[in-house]
Amino acid sequence: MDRLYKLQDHFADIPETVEIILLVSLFFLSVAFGLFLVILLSRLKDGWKYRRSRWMGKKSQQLITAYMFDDEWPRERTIRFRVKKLNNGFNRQVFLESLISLSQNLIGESAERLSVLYEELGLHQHSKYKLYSNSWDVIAKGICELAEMGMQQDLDLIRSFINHSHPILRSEAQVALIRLEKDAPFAFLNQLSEPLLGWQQMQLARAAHKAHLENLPAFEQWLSNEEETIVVFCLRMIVQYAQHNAVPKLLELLDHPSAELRREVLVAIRQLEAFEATEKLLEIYSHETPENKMEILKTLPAITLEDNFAFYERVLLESDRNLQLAAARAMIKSGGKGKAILSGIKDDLQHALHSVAAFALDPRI
Amino acid sequence: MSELIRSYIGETATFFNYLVLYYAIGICASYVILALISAFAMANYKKRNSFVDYRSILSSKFAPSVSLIAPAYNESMTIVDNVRSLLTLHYNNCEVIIVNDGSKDNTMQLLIEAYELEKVDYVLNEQVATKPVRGIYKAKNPAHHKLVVVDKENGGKADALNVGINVSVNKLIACIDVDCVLEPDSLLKLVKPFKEEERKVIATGGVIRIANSCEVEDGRLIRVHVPDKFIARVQVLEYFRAFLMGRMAWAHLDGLLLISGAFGMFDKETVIRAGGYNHNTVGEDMELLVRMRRLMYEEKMPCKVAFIPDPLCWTEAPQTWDILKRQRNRWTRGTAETLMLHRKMILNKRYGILGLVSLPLWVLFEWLAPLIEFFGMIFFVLSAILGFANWPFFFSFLALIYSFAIMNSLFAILSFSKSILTNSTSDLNTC
Repeated sequence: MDRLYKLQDHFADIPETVEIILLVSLFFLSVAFGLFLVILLSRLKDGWKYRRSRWMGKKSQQLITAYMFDDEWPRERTIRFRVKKLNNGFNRQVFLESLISLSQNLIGESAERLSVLYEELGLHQHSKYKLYSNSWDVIAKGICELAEMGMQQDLDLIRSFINHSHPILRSEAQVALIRLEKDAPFAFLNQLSEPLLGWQQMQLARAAHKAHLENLPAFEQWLSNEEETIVVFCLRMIVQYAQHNAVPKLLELLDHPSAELRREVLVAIRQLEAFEATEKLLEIYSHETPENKMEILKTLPAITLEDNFAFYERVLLESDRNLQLAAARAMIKSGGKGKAILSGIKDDLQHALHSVAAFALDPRI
Repeated sequence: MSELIRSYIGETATFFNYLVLYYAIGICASYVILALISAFAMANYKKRNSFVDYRSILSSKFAPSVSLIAPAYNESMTIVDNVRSLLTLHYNNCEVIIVNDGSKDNTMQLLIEAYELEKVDYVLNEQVATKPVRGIYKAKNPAHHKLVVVDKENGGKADALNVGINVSVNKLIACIDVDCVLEPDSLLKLVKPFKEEERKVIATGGVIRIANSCEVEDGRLIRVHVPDKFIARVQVLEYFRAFLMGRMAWAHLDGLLLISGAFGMFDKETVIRAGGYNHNTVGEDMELLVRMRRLMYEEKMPCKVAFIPDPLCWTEAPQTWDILKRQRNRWTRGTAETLMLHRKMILNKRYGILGLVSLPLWVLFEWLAPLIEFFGMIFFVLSAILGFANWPFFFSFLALIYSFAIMNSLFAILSFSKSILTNSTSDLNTC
């Protein structure tokens, strides 16, 4: 007992600062222990979820296969599955993922049958319910599910998210509209008030490609849009779907104040091989930025077989090494005459442009 | 010793004790704040990434082109496999530039033989000054058309990277250490922030993981193992803390100062405008990023440096104390040199969060920490010898720091286990 009193006295003598430090240390150790438990439990939980998802995945596939291929499949069994197996969020999610992954690989009647199953199991309501969530990611997930399962009846609800402040949510809504709104898949472009970021543009282009759209709009109708990113997107889509009718509008856009936009126009002209642009390109060359001059030099030989050698030779005399190289390459692409001129320069070791000619003529570079 | 001197030394010792205590509290507080911010940022990233399908970049005509620049110096043991691994990365529009920085071994010869290289008449557009280039090589075999090998005089890693910048033709450059093993989709992940931000993104980086004891075949990581050696094992934890808690949080706060030299992607135009890599510092990776950010602040152009909390690159960590000492010496000197070169930015409101928060904290807790720890140890030993050591304070302080380190490391492990993405319930087996 004396020892205990002595120990108590000893702790009573500890200065206040040390006491506080010890208490904080104890707090840190308790938190560390808590974190250790969280790590342990989350690993156990992940293991359980993995096993559970495999089990549920198997059950889902059994039901889907039976539903798809058994003509006499009784509706009651679907309802029983819904009541017994789809009674919690986790199971529903696993089932939905199985359904969606199968649906992505099917078209026509089979895909429609899956959509019917989706509705019969009441999953449509669950997906739609997500659209009323406060969390952007839950809404986006719901939109994805509705789009994957082809739920056209929810178009208006989905459309309300195309200008949402969260870029991923509005992107998912736009992708969903492309997939669901068969008659006018890009009509939402008229209602956009937010910019189309590069990543969104990729998603939209991919969605359009995958949807095998029959009613593609003429993208030139948005080339006068005030939002520059929409114009850029449409330029790229014009190229992707080879909409040559847009060329006159592209020529007008070469006078646009934005150099970056003009660069996109030049790329589009090149890829569309719009020979009508030749004169305009030669006209604007001298006022353009160095990057756009490069684009013009890449574009000219791609769109015209006309003799622009005098122009290229003038550019060769400019001091910018990149422009010289681009001009040399343009000469080569323009045919035998250009090659002959450059070969002459290459053979003349004293010529100031000898190395440029050699570089341009090397097919490996 | 007179009473007066004793009391004077005693008071000084108490003063230093408290100074070190407050410093330690400052460090711990900053770590806790960063850990909380990184947890928030990580959760946000996971949510955002659950909607990403990287195949859309792979198949998109809208995807930007990338030049991958890898300097090599005396890498004959691994160079052929490493280049093969770079050539098989999942990315369509990509050129691979290997810069042989005047290797004294047969690195160049091995490359020439393995990839059937031949010298070409390349016109170099020297946008950043470098040491002379001896020759530029391309592969005869069209299967390796992406490959460009530059042979140059030895000038160090920074110089080799600058040559790569001059040779590159694309707008984005990814600078890597040639001995690193990249994840196949690492380029796709680094490119994404450049396409999804409204602000101009000038650089992106990701998590570097330690490859010691991991199984690598043909330049590809096959299986992950915990390193055999204790030093490497400790660094695994250290890397988790640095990348998942430190850099993730700083990127979220827009105060990131460092993209690891092992693997990072940059906007070439900004790199060139900033003057390329600095030859005169051993911390060229940190110095370049700070200079790029400084340039953007001075030109009043809003920009962003993004960080991806996914493991993108695997590297060998030092396994002996001697190599570790040299590495840490280089890092510390690099930090000190960068902070000295850009001291004008420190506590300067013109440089926003970088000047007011990031840089001052780096000075206090990165640059000064080794000095304070060193002087602290000397001071304690002297105090103990002279009989002024405050033992209760010493042991309680030790307990504080040690318990905090345990807590912080466990938080890093938790962050790591949560950083593994599970986009769907079927991905759970990847955990």
